[in-house]
Amino acid sequence: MSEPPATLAHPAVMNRPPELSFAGMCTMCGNKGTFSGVRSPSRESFPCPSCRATLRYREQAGAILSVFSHGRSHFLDHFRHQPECQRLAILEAAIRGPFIRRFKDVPGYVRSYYFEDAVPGETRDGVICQDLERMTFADASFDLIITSDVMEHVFDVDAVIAETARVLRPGGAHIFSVPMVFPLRPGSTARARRGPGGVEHLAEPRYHRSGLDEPSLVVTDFGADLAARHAERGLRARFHRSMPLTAVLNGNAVVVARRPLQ
Amino acid sequence: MTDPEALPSPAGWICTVCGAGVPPGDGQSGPGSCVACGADPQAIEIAAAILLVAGRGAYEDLSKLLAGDDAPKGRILDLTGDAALSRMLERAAGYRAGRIVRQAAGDTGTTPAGPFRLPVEDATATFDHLLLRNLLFCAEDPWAVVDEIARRLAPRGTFVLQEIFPWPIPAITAESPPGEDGVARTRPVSGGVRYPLRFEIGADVIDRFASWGVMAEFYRPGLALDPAYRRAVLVGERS
Repeated sequence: MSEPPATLAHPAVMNRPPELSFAGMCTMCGNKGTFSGVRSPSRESFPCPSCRATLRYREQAGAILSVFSHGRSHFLDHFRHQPECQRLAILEAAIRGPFIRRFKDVPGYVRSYYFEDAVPGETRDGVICQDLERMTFADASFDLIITSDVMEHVFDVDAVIAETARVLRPGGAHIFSVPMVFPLRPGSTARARRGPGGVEHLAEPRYHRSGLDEPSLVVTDFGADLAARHAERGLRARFHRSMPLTAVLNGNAVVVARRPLQ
Repeated sequence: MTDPEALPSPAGWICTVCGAGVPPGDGQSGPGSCVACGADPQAIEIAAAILLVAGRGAYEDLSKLLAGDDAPKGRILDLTGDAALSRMLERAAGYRAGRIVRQAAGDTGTTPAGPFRLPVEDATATFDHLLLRNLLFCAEDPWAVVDEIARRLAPRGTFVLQEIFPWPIPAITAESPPGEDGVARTRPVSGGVRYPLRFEIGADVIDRFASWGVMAEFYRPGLALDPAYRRAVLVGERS
């Protein structure tokens, strides 16, 4: 699925001069410095001058820290060495991206990807083939599931939500990024669907680059109903904002969907 | 090399209470007070936490949340004592504000407050949203406070608790040692009032909430935007 590397700026912001700079701290590597980028789409911009993680990856890192670090870590490169992280069972549906090298030494970290020519459950170069709509993992297998710009490419979002609810442990969280516009649209819009004869396009086809650098069709434009759709399947979802105090960057968010403790 | 501390805020701070633009605070290390509604930086931070847990992060400020379809409809108890927050939240049905009477440091001739009890009728699962400030560090028994918060939350109820937590947060909550001069330390809260600093709250507060089925976490709404940021708001939701 779509997984642009953290070091590569989105095509929409490449070669554009920075419009804005601000002082801040990178929640990925802890670098304190100046972040420069463009206002829109800001999520693919403002790379960390040290680790190059763009805003959306840093939003995910901030959400992971908020949910799992118990307040004791302020950036992911610190957290990953802590006992609170080392004991997590983590599933990341990705074959590249900034979290892989950070979590690869966590004993419970596994990666998955949907290889069309592999059997679900088969491992290829350390990556387990998984269809997120029908995962082969046992119930309550993971504390944390990470997907980065994947959900907008799946055809049956509700099936994926049901599966994440099944494989998450109580208190666990699916922390994922998807492109969204703020203020949020009330409802999600399907851009394509599966039909008897294949993919039926309901809007002009739009593609992102997949982890294998191939075009990946955008199936859904998400809205605020994501929270209710998770609630229907027993998860508590919210749009986690790491920068809610600013006029330009507060529109960035990642979704945190947690399985209740009881 | 540019001094990161000297850079401007990212195109302006906004007030998470009313949505107005906010000038930078002293030293440009975060927002100042809102000219429109009077919210100070602490109230702005509490509002950001309310938007996260009660508003599910779908709204930019409280005025939009309260005007929308997702406005909190349950019982809200606000014990922050914050006037700007109260003025805004009064728009919500089920809102009520109260005050917790505590002993300020330096008071003499008064009996120290007993274990924290919410100043309302005693019942479990009473509230859908609890808004709190400066409770744990000055409590005689912080676990009694945590238990009381958790006990009063209705299923799916949320809470927001703002206070000055240690940086970094220790693993275990411990009694605060006296100052170098042997005198018990105090901490300023507001209006020149100081409360006794009895405990350094640790990460085990999360586990205590979890024992009640409350998923709690430390939310740091200014962390990514301010190299000098050291604050946190404890937020949670009951299962």
